[in-house]
Amino acid sequence: MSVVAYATAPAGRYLTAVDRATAPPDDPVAAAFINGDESALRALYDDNSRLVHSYCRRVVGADLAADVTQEVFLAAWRSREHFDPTQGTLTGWIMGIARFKAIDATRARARRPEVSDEQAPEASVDETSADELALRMLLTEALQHLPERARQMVELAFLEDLTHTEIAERTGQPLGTVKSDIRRGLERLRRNLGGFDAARA
Amino acid sequence: MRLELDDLTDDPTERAAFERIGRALAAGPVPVDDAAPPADLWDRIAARLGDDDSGAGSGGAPGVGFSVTSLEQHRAARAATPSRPRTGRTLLAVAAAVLLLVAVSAVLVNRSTGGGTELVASTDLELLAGGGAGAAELIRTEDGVRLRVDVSGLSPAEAADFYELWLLAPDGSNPQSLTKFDQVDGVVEVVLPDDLSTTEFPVVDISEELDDGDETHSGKSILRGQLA
Repeated sequence: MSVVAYATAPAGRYLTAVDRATAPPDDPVAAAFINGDESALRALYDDNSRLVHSYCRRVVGADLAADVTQEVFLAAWRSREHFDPTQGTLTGWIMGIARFKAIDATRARARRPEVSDEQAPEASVDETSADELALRMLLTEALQHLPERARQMVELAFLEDLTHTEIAERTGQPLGTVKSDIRRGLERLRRNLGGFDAARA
Repeated sequence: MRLELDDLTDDPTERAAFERIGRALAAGPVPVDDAAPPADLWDRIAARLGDDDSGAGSGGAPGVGFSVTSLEQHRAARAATPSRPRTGRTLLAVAAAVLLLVAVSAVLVNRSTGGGTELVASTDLELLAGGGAGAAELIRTEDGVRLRVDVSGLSPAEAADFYELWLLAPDGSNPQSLTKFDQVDGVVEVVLPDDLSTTEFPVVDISEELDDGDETHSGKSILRGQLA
């Protein structure tokens, strides 16, 4: 998501939407979040809890996923003053925090000898894989929030491994349009990368 | 994996970021699974919000949008320590009441999105003056027809206070104002009113405007394209 502008029309007539996955630095939810507005945290939770919880399930298992998800959002809240919207998106930042919390939980579990087989995660991953998985899930989600044509172009380029020329032939779009769409899509996805890398343990 | 990036950027830092994104995407999508978080998870989080919280505290009532005060304060803080380049002009003189409208509207729309969408029409926007690039898409969703405009690097040709998104008749006449904005990069998305026909007004236009009380089109268009 993304946007936003200053709506001048009567409330409810024209609505201006924010897409948090690709939101610009002036995203009002990010502004409110940094300023300590709990309703902004709720909006952040509504937008990202399924993504964070799904990631945690894969890394730490179903039994700990909710607890780790809870710690992710609490950690984000407590360190909200360190979030810089100019560096990246809130979604990226949250997933960056999730990566650290999930790895911490995995290490803590490994230190507890009393953990039984039943409590072990359904699918545990090592720390490198946990890091890569967080980024892949973040980008998979962010991809869905790109403008339709840019999303299609990026998918053809990187998921189907087509050349720009092949994409132009496949879609019927001019080569220049293909390149500008892919570039624009990558620029938007990069803001998630910025948020992800800015998160600290 | 070919990662065809040479034509996309000359900046090594940007190229490295694009390559990292490309490799992560090429490893295959990992969608969110079907298992939702426990229904009481938010309540558990909310119950602990005050624990060890040495931050600024709550600036607004939970669950009811955002207070004008909090946004004003943040705007003031950002104005005191600007952290990103603007267009070099005075983009950003907006009343608190307008900010509140945007914040609340944004949340409403964001929470209402989802479900099927259909691309109805699209266009690349041609640069007429100033700087920047953009593309527009007309999308039919469950809650109506949306115009989604993706802009990058917008800059006005002359002094301006904000940008404005319009729909025009095919001959460029009779501009219909949709929204004002100040972002130089990002997506501006509006839900079109039922009585605004994109057949009658198919031309997407972004203009630069002065905050001079004149609500008509300035005549200074930056980007324009016809939906098809």
